Amino acid sequence: MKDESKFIQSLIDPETRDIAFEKLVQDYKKPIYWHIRKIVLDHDDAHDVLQNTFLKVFKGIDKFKFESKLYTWIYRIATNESLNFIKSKAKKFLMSSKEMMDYQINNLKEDPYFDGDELQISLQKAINSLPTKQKLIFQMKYEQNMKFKEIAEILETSEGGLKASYHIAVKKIKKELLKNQTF
Amino acid sequence: MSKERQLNINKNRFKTPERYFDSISLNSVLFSDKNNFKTPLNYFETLEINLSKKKTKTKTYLLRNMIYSGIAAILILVVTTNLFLRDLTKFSDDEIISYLDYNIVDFTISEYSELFDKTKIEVNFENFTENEYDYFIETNFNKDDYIIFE
Repeated sequence: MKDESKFIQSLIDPETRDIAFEKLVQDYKKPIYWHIRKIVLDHDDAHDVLQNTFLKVFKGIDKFKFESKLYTWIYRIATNESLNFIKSKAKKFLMSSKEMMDYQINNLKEDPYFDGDELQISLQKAINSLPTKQKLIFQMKYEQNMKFKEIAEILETSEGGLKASYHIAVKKIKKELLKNQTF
Repeated sequence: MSKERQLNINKNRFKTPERYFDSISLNSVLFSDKNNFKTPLNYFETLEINLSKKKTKTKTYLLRNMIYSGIAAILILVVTTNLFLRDLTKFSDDEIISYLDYNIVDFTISEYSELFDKTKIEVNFENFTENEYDYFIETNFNKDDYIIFE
């Protein structure tokens, strides 16, 4: 905690800011990228959101309130940026966010940065059928192997609620796959 | 086997371009080249813009706008002029009668007669008393008046 506090001070201090931020980017680029990518699906979209996330962190670090851990704050920004990105992209095409994601999933086959078969696409569709928060919980727990405690801090939900939500999500995905008889 | 493992999700189904993460740095974030838009080959070399056509279009558009605005302004002026220049001190006979019909003012007969243009009144003397007739002669008779006697 002391180290983190010191690191945050170096991010705020104009003299050490650039070096500290370079370290932050190097430490967080991969986990934040994958967190974003699992939400937005497309690599180019994920790249845009990743840039926006780090920019927001860079510009907003002075307002960091030390009420949560740094990584929690960054993940929260990344999550919000991802969801807002989907919303605004869907708006441009006069679609709902869910319709937008369905459209993206249908185009995954042609995506050069997607390495999956029909089953994986069906699984992705099943994940997409979940409510937004449940989808996030599932992705963070199952795909990114995050601890419930970490997810609870990022999404500002109780651990108990998260666990219940996660197990329901698993059940729903399985049911969805059985419905399409691809599982 | 847990329910989770039964899902068979390939966690590595998403890929990135080669050496993608090597290209991510503070500089790339702060000074990102957002120019993802491409142009056809030799586009700028062969580009010709017909400015005269564009100017005429703009000129016609502006002239049309001015004409419409002028017509609208004239219409507004005509309507407001009619409203404001109407002589509100002169009332028509119908306006006077309908005002009096509401019994707002309790006028005597002679007072009523003062309100109207006497040159246009046709007086029926049949129901006049002698006093009324005399009064009428005294107060209204004028060689300029055109009084029709029945």
